[in-house]
Parts: sequence; C-alpha cells; structure tokens
Amino acid sequence: MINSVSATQPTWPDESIPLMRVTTSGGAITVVDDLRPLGALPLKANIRAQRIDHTLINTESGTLFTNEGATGTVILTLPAAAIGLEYEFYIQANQTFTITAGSGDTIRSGTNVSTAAGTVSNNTVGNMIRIVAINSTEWIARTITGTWTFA
Amino acid sequence: MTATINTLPDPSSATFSSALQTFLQQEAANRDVLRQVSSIVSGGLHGTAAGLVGSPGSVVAFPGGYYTTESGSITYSDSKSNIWVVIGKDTTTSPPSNWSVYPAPIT
Repeated sequence: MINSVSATQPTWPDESIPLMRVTTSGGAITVVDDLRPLGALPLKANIRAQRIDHTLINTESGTLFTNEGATGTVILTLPAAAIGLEYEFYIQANQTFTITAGSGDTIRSGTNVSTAAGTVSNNTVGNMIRIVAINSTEWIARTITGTWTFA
Repeated sequence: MTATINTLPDPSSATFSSALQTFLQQEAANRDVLRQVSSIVSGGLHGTAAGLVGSPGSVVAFPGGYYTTESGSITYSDSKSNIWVVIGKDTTTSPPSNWSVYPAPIT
C-alpha cells in the first residue's frame, strides 16, 4: 500500500509493516528512507498491573509493570542480573513501588546507585523507571522520570 | 481454560470444511501477533533510481502475524516529497483513507 499524501508519518493501516519513505523529483527516485526497522517493534507492549509482591523471572523481560490497583506497597524482586534483561516500572497508584536487586547486584541512574541487593522506590503517580542489565551484577536506568529513592 | 483463540469448527456442521479453512488461516496468525512481532523476513527496499520505477524485490513479511509475500515493482508519481510504502496482509479490501493498494493508480 502507498500513501503519497501525508507530509508527516501517517497512521499505519492495520496489519501492515512500513517499508520505505520515498521522495521523487525530476522524474527520478531521489530519496529512499528505510523504515523496515519500525516493523520490528512489538505489536503490543507487555503490560502487567502488579498489586502484590512478585519475583520477576527472565521471561518477563520487556514487560512494563505498573502498580495499578495496589492498595499498599508492592515489592518486585529482580532476577539475577544477566546482560540484556530489561524491565520497566510505572507508578499508577499512589502507593510505594519498590524494585529490589538480586544478591550482589546494584541499580544505577547517573550518580545514584543502590547498595548491593538494594532497592529503588517511588510512590508518585506518573513516575517511571526502565532498567536494563549491562552485565551480571549491574542494572542501569535507560530512562527515568521523577525522583526515585536509591537505597 | 480456552485452548484456541478462535472457535473450533463444529465437525457436525454443514459448513465445517470452510470453517476449518478459516480457522487454520487465522489461528496461527492470531497467536503470533500476541507473542511475537511483526517482521520482515526479506526484501521490501529499493534504492534511488533514474526513473520513477522502484523494485523492492521479493518481500516476505508477517504483518499482523500473517505470512505475506509480494513482488514486482512500483511506479511512483513524480515530485512527491513523502511517499509512504507499507506491506499489508490484505489487498482485496478498501484501504484506509489516503492509502492506495498498489498497483491501483497512485493519486
């Protein structure tokens, strides 16, 4: 399918994958932008409302956890850090959301770093943190919104 | 617990054969779309060219989880700044507004 009208990126039709953005001029194809990497994006994000404590597992990597519906503190314990594991946490309920690192692992954002097996926590709606393991002992924040407490 | 996304065809139904075909077409794709990503296996890109004809090659992709192939070339309109090209699973139904199903005339 082709859309030659939209100056800005259009809404992709259902069940389609973007291929290219093409520019023509003077009877020639002058610019071709490869949009295929966009097609590698997940069709649906994995999102889970977590109202009770939970120990995360490797296969949950890539999931966005919220505390939607929580009526108290929710503690999520990370698995042992392994390069590439990634989790995201979003404060949806006005309750403390705590992420605990595994034994010997730390969580860092800039100069803020937890102790080994330490925690990061927050209770302000709208704040979020996305962490990824860069080796077998360190989690780093890829994105962070709001002021999280590192302990 | 439900074992399938789509309703299993009823073997006692007179339309069992056609219902089974529909089920087989949809079930695998409906499952893939829940657990995997839309992906392009091969093709789907051409370079700049002296004329207005681009050949993205033989495209193999899974839009929405559906196995889809397409080949041939695209003849573009001249003097367009942004021509967005996508591969979709369905070329038989009307596309969304502003989209044309190639090789229908480009407006």
